[in-house]
Amino acid sequence: MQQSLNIPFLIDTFFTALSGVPITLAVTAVAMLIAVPAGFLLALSRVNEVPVLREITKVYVSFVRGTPIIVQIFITYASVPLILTALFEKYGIQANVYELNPIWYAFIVFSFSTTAILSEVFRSALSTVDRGQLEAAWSVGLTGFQSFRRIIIPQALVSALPNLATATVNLIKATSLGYALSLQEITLKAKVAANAGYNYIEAYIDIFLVYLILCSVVEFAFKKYEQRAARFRVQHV
Amino acid sequence: MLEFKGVRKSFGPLQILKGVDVEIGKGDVVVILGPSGSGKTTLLRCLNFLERADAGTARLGSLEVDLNRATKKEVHAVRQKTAFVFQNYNLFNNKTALENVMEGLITGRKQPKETARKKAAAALDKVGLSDKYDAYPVQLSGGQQQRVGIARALALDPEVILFDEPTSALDPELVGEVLGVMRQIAADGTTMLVVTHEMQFAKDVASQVVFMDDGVIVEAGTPGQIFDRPAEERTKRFLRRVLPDEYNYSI
Ligand SMILES: Nc1ncnc2c1ncn2[C@@H]1O[C@H](COP(=O)(O)OP(=O)(O)OP(=O)(O)O)[C@@H](O)[C@H]1O
Ligand SMILES: [Mg+2]
Repeated sequence: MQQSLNIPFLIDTFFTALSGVPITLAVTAVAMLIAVPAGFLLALSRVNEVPVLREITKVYVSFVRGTPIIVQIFITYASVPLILTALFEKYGIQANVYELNPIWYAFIVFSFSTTAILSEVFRSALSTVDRGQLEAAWSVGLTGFQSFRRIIIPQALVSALPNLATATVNLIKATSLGYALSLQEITLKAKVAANAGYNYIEAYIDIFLVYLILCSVVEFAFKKYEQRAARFRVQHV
Repeated sequence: MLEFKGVRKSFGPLQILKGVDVEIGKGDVVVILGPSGSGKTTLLRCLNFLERADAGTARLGSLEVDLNRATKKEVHAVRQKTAFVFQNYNLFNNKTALENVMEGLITGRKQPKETARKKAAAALDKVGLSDKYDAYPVQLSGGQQQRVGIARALALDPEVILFDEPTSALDPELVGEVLGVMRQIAADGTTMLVVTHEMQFAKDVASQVVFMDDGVIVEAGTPGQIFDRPAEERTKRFLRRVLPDEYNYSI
């Protein structure tokens, strides 16, 4: 039966979906806060060919890229409680791992996958700064570390910004898979609201709009920041 | 006085430098000439440890180091006494002209910011860029970028500045301004070791001309000796090729 849209429900549910934004943003923020420095260190280990770490990073990156996030979620959800239970027993900690807030799983999964993606983003960004500048830095008496910190990294970060924006937006979208963890984020909240009266179309429209707004705002913020940070690449002042 | 002795370097099975000696007196301008692939760039890079030589020693004043076995500290000490001007300028793209020149003073030499700023400004004034302090490299022409490169070296007040073909990446109409600056700092008494294909510069400015071929120094002498009375057949052949107008009649 074709029915017209339930407008009041559409509006109500929009705010329900909106109330999931803090959780979505919290997961995104935590994942980025961990993945930016961790991904950067892994990128450095590959660029500077640090023996063992470089191999581990390669395997790790291909694992993350070669598996769907939903599968990573299932693996984490199934294995982390087992590991934790074993640890808790060993150290006599009184806690029920099955009462753990699902957001912790989300933190783990999304930090893990974003770190791998950012390590690739930073690796290609580091290679955009030509070696000549590094040699020039050495020649004026900077140490290897100083050259990286003052010359290479600032430029690499700027050329990483567009990919960083894409990774952030992808991360925001990927957190919708948190429903598999019963994470109270945008998608789950709207779907639960829809279950009561089978108003799925309305709920999906709301979900669609909330992600669209959220991602547009993030993208816009990155663009603005990039314009400021990349001043040194603008031909005319 | 600066002295480099017995510099050797191979890349894989290819021997590029086969024992090169160079001596530079204070205030001298030594110009190295030679065909492409003769090892000129490699020599300069070994002297500044951008490439690790297989053998050789460097003496800069009281500092004496083994070019092959120098420790990190010694490498740093040599770099504190030398400066490098690159063929492709290699300016720091994230820094303004002034910051490019200040970087080596502040971070490399641990000088206070204000002192560094004054020295950097003076160096940029000297190369004729007093109106470009705040320009980023992308906003400068090739000639201006290379002059910043020279100012960056000059401000460090090194015992010698190593120039690797400083004008060969430039459009022809921009070569003059860079050579002009080099003539001027040479006249001011800067000690320079210059690899170049600019023969007129070598004739006018060099205190010594060194002709290099196939990893060895074939012949060295005053510009008069090398250009007017070359002793070696290889030198003559090279000069005939690069200066056909002047040497054709003497075949
Ligand atoms: N990193 C490297 N690895 C392998 N071979 C190298 C390397 N750098 C230089 N060479 C080789 O060493 C030889 C000498 O090179 P070099 O750049 O020193 O010559 P050059 O005299 O400066 O020549 P040009 O006038 O063309 O600049 C060349 O055959 C070059 O291919
Ligand atoms: Mg060369």
